Amino acid sequence: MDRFAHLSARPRVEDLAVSERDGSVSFKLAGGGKGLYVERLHLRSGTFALQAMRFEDERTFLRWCDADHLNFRYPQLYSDLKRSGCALLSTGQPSPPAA
Amino acid sequence: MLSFPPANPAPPLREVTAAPDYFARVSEVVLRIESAPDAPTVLELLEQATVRAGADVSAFISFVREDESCESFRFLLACDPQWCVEYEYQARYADHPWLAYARKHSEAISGSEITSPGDDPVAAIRLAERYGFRSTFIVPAPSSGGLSRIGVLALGSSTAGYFQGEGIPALKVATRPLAAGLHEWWVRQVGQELIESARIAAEDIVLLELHSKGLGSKDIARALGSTPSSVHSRFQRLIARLGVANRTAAARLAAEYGLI
Repeated sequence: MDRFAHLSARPRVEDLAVSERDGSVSFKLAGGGKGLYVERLHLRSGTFALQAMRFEDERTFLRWCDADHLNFRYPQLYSDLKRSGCALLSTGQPSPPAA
Repeated sequence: MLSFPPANPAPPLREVTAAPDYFARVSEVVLRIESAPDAPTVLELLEQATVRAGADVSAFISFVREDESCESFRFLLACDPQWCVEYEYQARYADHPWLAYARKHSEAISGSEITSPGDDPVAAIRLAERYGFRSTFIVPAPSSGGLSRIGVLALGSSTAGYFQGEGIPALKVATRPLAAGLHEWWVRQVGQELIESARIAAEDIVLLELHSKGLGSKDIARALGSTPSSVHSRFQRLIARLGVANRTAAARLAAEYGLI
C-alpha cells in the first residue's frame, strides 16, 4: 500500500478532485451555499500537508491560486483548479471537462 | 473564510468575555464539533467559534508523526489561507513557533509571550501579522499521543495587544475545549481513514493490541483460540495493507492514529 494512501484517500467531502499525475499535489473541492471549500494536499519528502479552507468569492479564490508557489511548478493543475473552483463558486456544480 | 480587517471590529476582549452568555455561545459550537460529519462542517464551526470567542481569525494545526520518515500536518484555516502557502514556501511547518510551543507546553498563552527556538520565529510571526494575526492567543490541545500527536489552535486579532489583560482567564476556559474538540475530531477522522483505506477489521485491532502488550505469535494464538501460523499470516496481510515494515511499526501506526 502507498505509505500515504490512508492520508490522501479522502472520498467524503469533494464534489470534484484535481490532482497532479505524480500524486504530490492534489485538491478536493466542494461547492454549496457556504461558498467554495478547498482541501490542498501536498506531499513532499516524507511530509504530508493538508490545508482546508473556504472561499466566499471568486476574487479571493483566484488570488490564493496565483499566490501559491506550486502554481509555477504545476501550471496546468492550477489552471484546472481555477476553472473547477470558479464553476463551483458560480453554479455550485462542477465545470465540464476541458476540451 | 474570515476576513481581516473584519467588517465589524470586535469590542475589547474584556467586554466580549464579560457577556453573560459568552461561555454558552462558544460551548454551543464546541458541542457540535464532535458530531460534525466532514471537514467543511468543522471548518464552518471553527469560523463560528472564532468570532464568538472574540477573535477575528483562527487556524487549527494538527500534527502527527508516524515514524522518523513520515509526518503529517493538517490545517483548518479560518483566516486568509494565503498565509499558509506563504509560510510553506518560506519554512518548515515543524519549525513554526506556535507548533513548537505546543510541543512543549499545555498552557494557553498570548502569542507575545512565546519565546520559540524555531528556525526564524520572528519571520514567522511577522508573516502571520500580515494575515490578521497581529495579536495572537495560542491554545495547545490536550493529547494522549505525546510528542507524536499535537494540536494547537491559534486565535488572531488585527488589533495589536488584543489578547492581553482582563479577558484572558475567561478566554482560556472557553477555548481549551474548542482546541481539544478540534484535535479529537481530526484524530478520529484520520483513524477512520486508516481503517477504511487499509481495510482494518476489528480482529486486526485486537492483534495489534496484543502485540503492543508484548505478546508473540504463540501467546496471541492462545488468547484468540487460533494457531501461531494463522496469527503470523494475519499479521503479514495487515502489514502489507498498512505499508509498514513489521508488526511493531504496524502497532505504532495504529497507536498514532488512536486505534489502539
